[in-house]
Amino acid sequence: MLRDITLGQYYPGESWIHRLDPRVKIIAALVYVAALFIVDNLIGFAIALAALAAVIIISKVPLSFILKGLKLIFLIIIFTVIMNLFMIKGGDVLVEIGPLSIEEKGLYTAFFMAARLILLIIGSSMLTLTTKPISLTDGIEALLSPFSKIGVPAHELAMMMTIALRFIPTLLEETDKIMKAQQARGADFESGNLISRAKSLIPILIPLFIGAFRIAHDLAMAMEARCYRGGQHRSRMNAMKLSGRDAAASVMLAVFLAAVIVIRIVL
Amino acid sequence: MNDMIRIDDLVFKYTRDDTGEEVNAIKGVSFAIEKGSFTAIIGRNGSGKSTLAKNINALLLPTSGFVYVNGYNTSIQENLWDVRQSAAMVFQNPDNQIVSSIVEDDVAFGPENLGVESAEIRRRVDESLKAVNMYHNRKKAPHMLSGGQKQRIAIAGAIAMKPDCIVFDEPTAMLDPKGRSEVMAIINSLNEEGITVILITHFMEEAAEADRVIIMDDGVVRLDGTPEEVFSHADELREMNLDIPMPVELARRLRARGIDIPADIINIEEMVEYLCQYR
Repeated sequence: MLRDITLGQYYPGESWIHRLDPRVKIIAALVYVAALFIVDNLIGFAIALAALAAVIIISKVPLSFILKGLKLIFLIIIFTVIMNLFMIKGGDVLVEIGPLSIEEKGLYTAFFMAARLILLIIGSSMLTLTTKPISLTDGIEALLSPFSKIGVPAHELAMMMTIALRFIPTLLEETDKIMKAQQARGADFESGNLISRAKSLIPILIPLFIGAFRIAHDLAMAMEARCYRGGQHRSRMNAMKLSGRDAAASVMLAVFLAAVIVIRIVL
Repeated sequence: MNDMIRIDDLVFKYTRDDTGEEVNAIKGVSFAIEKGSFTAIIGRNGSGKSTLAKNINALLLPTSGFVYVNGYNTSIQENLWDVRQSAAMVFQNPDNQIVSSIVEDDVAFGPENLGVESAEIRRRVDESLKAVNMYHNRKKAPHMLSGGQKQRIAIAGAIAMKPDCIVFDEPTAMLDPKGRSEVMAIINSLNEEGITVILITHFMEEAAEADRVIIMDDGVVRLDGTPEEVFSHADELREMNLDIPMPVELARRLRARGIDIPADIINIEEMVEYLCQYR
């Protein structure tokens, strides 16, 4: 069962969006999120929605797959919407239920808030859905590397993420092993109240941590043996190259951003 | 200079973290390893064999004495990368030496660290993966593979650095019999292609495949010679708690009953062959 886990929420595919350079996709996601905060009217939201819809269609990621991963977040959004509806006052009173009332301003705020949050969450998850975690790491490293001169440890951060991704399954397997070993000796993880259940996790966590340190020690030695010496002198097998595809995507992104800004100013 | 590795009166001491006592892991070892040879180093736990292996890769540096790898003195800081590139290392635990979550990226890790140019890395990665028969799994995640397959990837990672010598530190200890035989087959074929192999192990059957066997005990070399020579010291091996390979033991007992078995028969196939033709 542990062997089947997927890391992150990558949806494997070969679409135009999947094949974009991770750097372009990261920037696009950032620009999209920023644009959502520029937008303040219905036309702007319509454009943002259309852009997102286009990306989803091109990426061929099924909508149900996208929404499945966001169930919990939608609960939070619904809660926010309800709070906004009833709490924000101003304008005409639209509905009155006993002591509660929904007023015009509340409705607007709730609607924009919900639209913004939904677009923001789906928009940013399109990045992780269409980019392998490992390419994402490479992209972040490349984008941060200009800042390494002012002390941003770009390579180190990327290496840490790579190793974390690599060892998540290993540590899960280890946890599974430890739990089974403890259960074989009569440990009970399922019954009792919250506190006693939390307590029963301690015998799992301690060996897990010791194991993690042992792995870290071994891995550090193996990396040194393979001439690892940090980011300097290092070359890459898959040097990232921008293609025509990436240029096209960048142009579309610029057009989108310009449209959003123009609409904000004009309307 | 024809020696791949030369060790001169190596002494290695370290202080144990938990008790603070000083441990004398290697107490004066000297030997040379010829280019292109296949040497097995055997010893029980705590004999100093793994410490010796790490001294060859400059992961540990001698307390006194010298280790030369391809003519480079490991104690000199500037030689560090040349030493590690010349003598690559494969460790015991297949899980804890794989860095990336994609097989081919992991194999590329060594050459990337050496600053090799992209196209050349690509070529080396493909070549190395083919050499260990894992090319078809190049896009997979390491955690989806078996122990033996992971260990083969670790070997590919070592080959991709184009080393002259590979030190295997008990590479089969954590594998099942199938994985063990796959890894041994690869070690043998690498040696045939001219890579100097140093195999640290505690399996006598594996040592029997080497050209030369060095037995370590309590930080010193106790026996050194061809497998036939070393295995003929049966009493000494037993005294060090080392098993004698089954065919060697069988030959010894047959000889005790007056059946003459040649001393150079040390593996099962040869023994079967000989016994079937014996009249």
